[in-house]
Amino acid sequence: MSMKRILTISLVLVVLVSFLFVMGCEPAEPTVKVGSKEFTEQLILAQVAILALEHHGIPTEDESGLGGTLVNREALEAGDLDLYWEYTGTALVEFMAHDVITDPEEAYATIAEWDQAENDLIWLDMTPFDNTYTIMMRREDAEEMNIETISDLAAAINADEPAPEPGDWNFAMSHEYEARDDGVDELQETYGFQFDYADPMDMGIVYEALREKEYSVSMGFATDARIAAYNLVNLVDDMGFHPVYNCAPVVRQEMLDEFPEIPEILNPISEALTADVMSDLNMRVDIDDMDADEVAEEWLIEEGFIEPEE
Amino acid sequence: MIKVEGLTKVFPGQTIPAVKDLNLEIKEGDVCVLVGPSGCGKTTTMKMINRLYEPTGGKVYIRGEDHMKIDPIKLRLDIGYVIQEIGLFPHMTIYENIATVPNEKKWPREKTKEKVEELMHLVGLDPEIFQNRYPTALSGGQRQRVGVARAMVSDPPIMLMDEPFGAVDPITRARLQNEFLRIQERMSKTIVFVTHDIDEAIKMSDTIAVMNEGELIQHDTPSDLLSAPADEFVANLVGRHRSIKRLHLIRVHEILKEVDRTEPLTEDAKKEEVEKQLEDSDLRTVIVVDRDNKLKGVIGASDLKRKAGEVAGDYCHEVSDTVTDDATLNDALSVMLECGVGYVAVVNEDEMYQGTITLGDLLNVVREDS
Amino acid sequence: MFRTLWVWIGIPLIMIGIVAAMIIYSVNNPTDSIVERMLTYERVFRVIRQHASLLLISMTGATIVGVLGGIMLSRPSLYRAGRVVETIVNIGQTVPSIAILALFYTILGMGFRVAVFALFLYSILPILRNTFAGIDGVDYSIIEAARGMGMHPLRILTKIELPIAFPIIVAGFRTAIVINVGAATLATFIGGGGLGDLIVTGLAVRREMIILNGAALAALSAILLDYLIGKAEERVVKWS
Repeated sequence: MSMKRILTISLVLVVLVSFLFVMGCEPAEPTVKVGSKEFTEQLILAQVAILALEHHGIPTEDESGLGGTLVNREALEAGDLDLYWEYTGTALVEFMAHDVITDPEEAYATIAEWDQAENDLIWLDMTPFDNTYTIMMRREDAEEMNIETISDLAAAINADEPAPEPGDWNFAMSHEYEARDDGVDELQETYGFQFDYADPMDMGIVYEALREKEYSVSMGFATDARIAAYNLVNLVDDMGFHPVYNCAPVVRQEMLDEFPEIPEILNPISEALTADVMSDLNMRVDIDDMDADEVAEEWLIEEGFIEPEE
Repeated sequence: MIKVEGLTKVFPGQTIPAVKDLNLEIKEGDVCVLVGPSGCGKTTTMKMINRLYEPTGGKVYIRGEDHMKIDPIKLRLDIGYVIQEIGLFPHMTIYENIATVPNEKKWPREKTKEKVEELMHLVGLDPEIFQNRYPTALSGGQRQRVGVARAMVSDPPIMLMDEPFGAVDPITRARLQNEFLRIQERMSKTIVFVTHDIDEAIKMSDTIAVMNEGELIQHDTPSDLLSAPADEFVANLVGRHRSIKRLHLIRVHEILKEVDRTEPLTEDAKKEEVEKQLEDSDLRTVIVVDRDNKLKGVIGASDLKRKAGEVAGDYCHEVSDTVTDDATLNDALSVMLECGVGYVAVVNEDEMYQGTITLGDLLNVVREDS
Repeated sequence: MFRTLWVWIGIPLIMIGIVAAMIIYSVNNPTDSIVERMLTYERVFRVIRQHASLLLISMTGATIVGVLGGIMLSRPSLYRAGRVVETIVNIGQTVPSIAILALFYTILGMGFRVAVFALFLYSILPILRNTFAGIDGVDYSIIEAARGMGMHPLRILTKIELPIAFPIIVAGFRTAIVINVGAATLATFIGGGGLGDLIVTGLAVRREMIILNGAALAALSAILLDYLIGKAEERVVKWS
């Protein structure tokens, strides 16, 4: 036998054995790999899903805190994730490249239909809470100046009313909000006013920026615990500028085929997640310094979705 | 010029004094060498003179003035200072290095330039070539010369030198020592010179102060020190080969005049003259000079056989080494031993031929002495 | 003459030109509305101006404090303290700049001034350490020769120690400025502005073009400053 033939045969053997090995490693029991984005609300929702599924005997793998929106989405499409909670508004604009929809039901129906048809991804029932962008002021300033809606704010600015501390009509926002099509530029255009200036910063500190009176107005997320804790107030988006961001678990169809009971488990849970509930859960993590899985377990037991472990 | 009385130094945190009750007087124009093993207090003593170390007790008088009453900065500006490591400033040119003290004294630019150039000539460094170079571009010997020039540029009457030639090779050291002695002959500075090398001490000094464990053991002229060591320690330091050490004390020109030897031949002398002198000479060699009395070479018997020609110049070969007339007999001996011949030609600063001395001449000197 | 022009104007202009071409292209050919909004000349110049202010103010302060501090610590009376500070500084240098920023956010709050202060403190470290090490590293025989010749301690510092330590101090300054240019991109997290605005926004909305412009400007500043300081040092220090 020539050297070349020996090499060829060895190579074929190695490849064959590798194949068998890889196939042998495929887990006999499929597990649901649950991902999430990196902020509090997402971490809690991931734990809620994991605990509920595990409680009903469905094995899961915790991939929470995986990365940003796109990282999770790509992992889901690639099959590296099986489930994560996504917001209707985000998915519409980011994945579907659809125009902004401000009606919750319409937004949900549009994206759910498209994702099932195009990507074999199933949107389970959405939450009542709508974690949309919100424009905030300090409660005492808003009350003193009689500002309840964004239109009121625009009117005050346009009337040259003196700004609360720090004395400018300035605006704290996340980097994303500065750049987005439904961000600060469009907001000002829609409501017809102009901040003195607007600074981007880490999303995590916009609430403190407002509380510490570095800025007179800031943006935030509607369900964030700090809004109540810091005595801030959401201005009503009376012109329906911000898209809706209700949340729903998105699952791969293959996993639903494997575990058809998943919707029955998660849908009632989503229904229970109102804005007040979500804000409260966020507060337990952000303000009371509890872990996301503790908070999730506590709430699921309170609501009777799972029984406490003996 | 310098008078030291009961000088004592105890360093903080130590009980044994580094220098103990030292008395010493150095006359104007004298070179006083402090010699002794390392740690004997010789450097400490020197540094107390310019107040780099403040004395714990005792007095130092400079020209009769208590040096504690002189501002230390002013005191040091008027005392030349050379150390073994030289301490040239690497970021300054040779010119700037030498001009350090004039600049500190705020001399006018012209005066500084004149003095720096004069000193560079004095130590044998051509200002044209060297003044804009940086110390890293110089050899060890050249750096030492710059160090000496820097210390002498403002013409201080007193100089302190701490093993100034310690860091160069023996041949360069001998050359620097001889140059220094020649300069000193002209300048007549009062010099305190620290070394641990007894040979150097004997060669350089007018007086030697032997120190041990912080105390002065003996202060004498070199020749008295050699003939009458005060105690066992000094005797050991001076060593058994005192006769050879005497060779350090005598300069070549001192014995040259006593030596009666045939005149050299000029390069155009006839072959017959060469042959004749070769037979008569005790050197078995003929010295050849040119018309300006510069050393041209030597002719041995083999040169006559091997080479062809009419006159002396055609036969001679160059000599590998010579000594200058201010070298010591010890230097002359070294050259003879290194070249493996029994004689060495002597030239002066301008390479004019001065004469020749032989191993026999040296033997006579040693014999006379003992 | 030609060489000087080339070194001081030619090479820097080429560097600037490449990045400028990229910015002009990006501004004129936005891939979508987000890139168009973020990459305008006005916005790019604003973040460059902010970044330069962060850099200039913090480096000026850090250089003054670092060099003076290094000199003080190298004095014999404070020498022991100097050794201790050197160790602390070396440890401090291992703390990531983002951690320094986070620390100062919790202590002092947010904004441009806090960012400048954090950058200032962070940049002191290499300058202080190198000034101390540079002076400490001057051969003792050089100082002794200077003292022995009657130089005043202050003259020894200004004429001998500082000039000999100069290349090491400059090396510390270069390190500081390169670190500073990079660290200043983090100022955006606490609302301090600068090139970080472009980079972090670009990351948040996943538009490589925005990231690339911000990153290229930061890299250009670091490389250009390091290059120019290095060349300037070569001109000044002729002796090593």
